[in-house]
Amino acid sequence: MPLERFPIPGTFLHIKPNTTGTDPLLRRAFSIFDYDETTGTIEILYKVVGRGTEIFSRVRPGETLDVLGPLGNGFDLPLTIDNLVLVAGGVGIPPLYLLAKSHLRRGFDGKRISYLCGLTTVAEKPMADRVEKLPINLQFATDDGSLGFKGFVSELLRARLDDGSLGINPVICACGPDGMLKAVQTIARAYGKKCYLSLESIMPCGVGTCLGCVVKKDGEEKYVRVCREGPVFEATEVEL
Amino acid sequence: MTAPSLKVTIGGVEFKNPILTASGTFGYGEEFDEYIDLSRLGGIVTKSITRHERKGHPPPRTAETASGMLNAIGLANVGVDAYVREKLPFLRNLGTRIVVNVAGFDTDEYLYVIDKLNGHDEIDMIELNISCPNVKGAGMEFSSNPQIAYDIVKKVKGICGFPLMPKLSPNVADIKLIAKACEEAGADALALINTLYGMAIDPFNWRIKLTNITGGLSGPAIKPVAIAAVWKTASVVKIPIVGIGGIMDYRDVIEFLLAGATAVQFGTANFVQPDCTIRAIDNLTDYLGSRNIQDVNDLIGKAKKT
Repeated sequence: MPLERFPIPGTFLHIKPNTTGTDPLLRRAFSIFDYDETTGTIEILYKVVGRGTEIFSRVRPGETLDVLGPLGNGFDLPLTIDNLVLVAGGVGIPPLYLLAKSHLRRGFDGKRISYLCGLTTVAEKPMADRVEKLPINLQFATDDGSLGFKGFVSELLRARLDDGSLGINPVICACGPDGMLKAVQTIARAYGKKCYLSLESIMPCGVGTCLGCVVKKDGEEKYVRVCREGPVFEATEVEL
Repeated sequence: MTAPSLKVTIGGVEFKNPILTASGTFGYGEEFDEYIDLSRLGGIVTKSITRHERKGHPPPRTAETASGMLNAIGLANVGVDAYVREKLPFLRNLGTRIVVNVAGFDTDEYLYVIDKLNGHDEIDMIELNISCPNVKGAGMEFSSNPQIAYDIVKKVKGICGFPLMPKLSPNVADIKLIAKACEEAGADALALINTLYGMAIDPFNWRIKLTNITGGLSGPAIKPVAIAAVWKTASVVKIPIVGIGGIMDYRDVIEFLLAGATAVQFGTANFVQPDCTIRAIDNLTDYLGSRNIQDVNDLIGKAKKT
């Protein structure tokens, strides 16, 4: 079934990796990578990390999948912000690509979008193929220095905040591994920048009932659901 | 031919069909309102409530296992006062039966919560959670000893303004003894089974998957255990049994009814397929129709020995 509207970046799809059977039993959450407005087609970009994604990778073109979504709260950013800084680490690339595309589509100037893309090594560059085609300021960071900045993408963010090249009042949006998100959260706090984090969690239900995917609220003895209140949170809201 | 009757009666309460949702898998009902027509359900069993609000255990709280999942949510809930104030109004006039699951750390807590619920006519029945395996001191021991089970059910029954249905644990040597004790203490029905004790460890990073170490195992993996528990229990009690454990579709519903359950609860399946209950109601209706079975009650306890 085609999706009728451009999805909100950061929202996710809950997909049953196997078309039949109970093992694996639960759905897997995937962020939305791209959307084709003429066909209503959605694309996801994922990495095989476990049994679910391994089974999922065996789905052949033309097969019907059981998809629930789009679910959750995505990035809710007005076009009135001055500059948008997207910090992506590996599997965090897709939702931030869609966010850049969505802002461009709504008339936001690409010169005011910076996309800092963190990879392990240059071999992973194909993951960012589509990002490269967008008329935005794209910079790479690799752990081994084989492409762009040598070091973590969070350190690239710090360097660019220091040299002022991200423009005035940059709003930071980050998606990637927990360690990276934590580093970005710390940097955003230190520099006093507005920052949104898109979190990943094991989500049995995806619709807010099982209470399995919770994350701790910052400064409070309270948990919030990644699937329902998130997956995008203001960096000041959550404790990673 | 007229449509088959799906009505069942439990503890004097008539349910429009034998398909309910299990506590802890359906929130407070409102979470599913956008996915299914709640009025079609036989009933909704809401998430365990306790005297005070509980935040629950630190994550990770769940882990998937072979055809099942472990959970150790930790009885996270809003507490009985907020439940009555904020959750009950939604449940009023939904057109389905409302069963409230009550948990506690001691007898006083159960009595306190029930007392707060008494008089709220949105509620049709109380499910007494005396079998949560995930929280130390919460209920579990109440359903592991027949005398203790008898005492708590007797005390709660004494003040409870609703039909009372204790929910039993499978983590016992002989569930029949607990079931009998509950019946003798005045229980109007029995719900079984709660989750099984379980644990999982990652073989690569050696980490125990749940922060709570152990959790409750649910899903299709536990269905045979639940079927056997229902079968055994049905042979020793006269009160109705509500079967729970790994039910995914109408075929599982039929299996539980044949084993002796009067109704069932869908649990983990709600996480996988939000409309699993509605599909099961439709498919059960078709199944009965295609076999010329006029009344769903004709299935109860009819399993044949081979």
